[in-house]
Amino acid sequence: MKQLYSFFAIAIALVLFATMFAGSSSCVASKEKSDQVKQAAQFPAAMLAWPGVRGDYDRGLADGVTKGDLTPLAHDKLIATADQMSVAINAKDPSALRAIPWTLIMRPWADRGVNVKLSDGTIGPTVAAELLERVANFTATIESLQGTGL
Amino acid sequence: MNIAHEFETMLKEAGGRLGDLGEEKRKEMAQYAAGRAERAATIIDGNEPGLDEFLTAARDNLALKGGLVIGEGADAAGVEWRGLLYGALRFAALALAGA
Repeated sequence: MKQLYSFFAIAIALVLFATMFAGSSSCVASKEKSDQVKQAAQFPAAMLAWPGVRGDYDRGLADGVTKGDLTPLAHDKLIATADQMSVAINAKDPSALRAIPWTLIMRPWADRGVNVKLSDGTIGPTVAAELLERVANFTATIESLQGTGL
Repeated sequence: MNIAHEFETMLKEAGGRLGDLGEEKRKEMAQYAAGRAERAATIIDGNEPGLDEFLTAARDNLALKGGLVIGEGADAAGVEWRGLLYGALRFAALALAGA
């Protein structure tokens, strides 16, 4: 009788293990599929938007140097980081993208660039709102892509 | 022209492959496109500087938003992202060309 219980216990454990394994494989496959869809949809959009966002970013950096908020050395480093971002986006490489500190370090300069253009009258308030929204959408896209391929 | 309706129709026509995306997300994109059209009208009516920059940014925003909306629904099996993205870009080109 005791052997019978042991047999059932082992059988149940094996079934549970197999179920857990199948579930985890299914989760991994689902994550991969989800990542593929995200990358296929979001990388082309990021590539399309990056030149415009980069223009705002460069403008913000230039203003930072002019106003003394940024040293020329820091400016050059931030330009180099943006160049790395260009490579990561064009290569559609999420792991390279994860090495880029867009949200915390770089994004504020893009927002600043838009506000500089608004201040000097190059663009009006509605245009500025659209440009700031582009920076926000771009940031959300980059963060989404940085979470793929893990 | 009802921008939101036109956009939604265009998305539906984009290969007829968007059923998995759901009505809610299609409407979300349609409303987003309509918001761009409203801003374009404000800029033109107010003779606000930067129309060219706006047109580029609106195009970019439609593509980015499309990518994000698709990403949210990426777990749904069989989502045809190309249809939505190309539909959004086609719409952006048409809407902005007429702006």
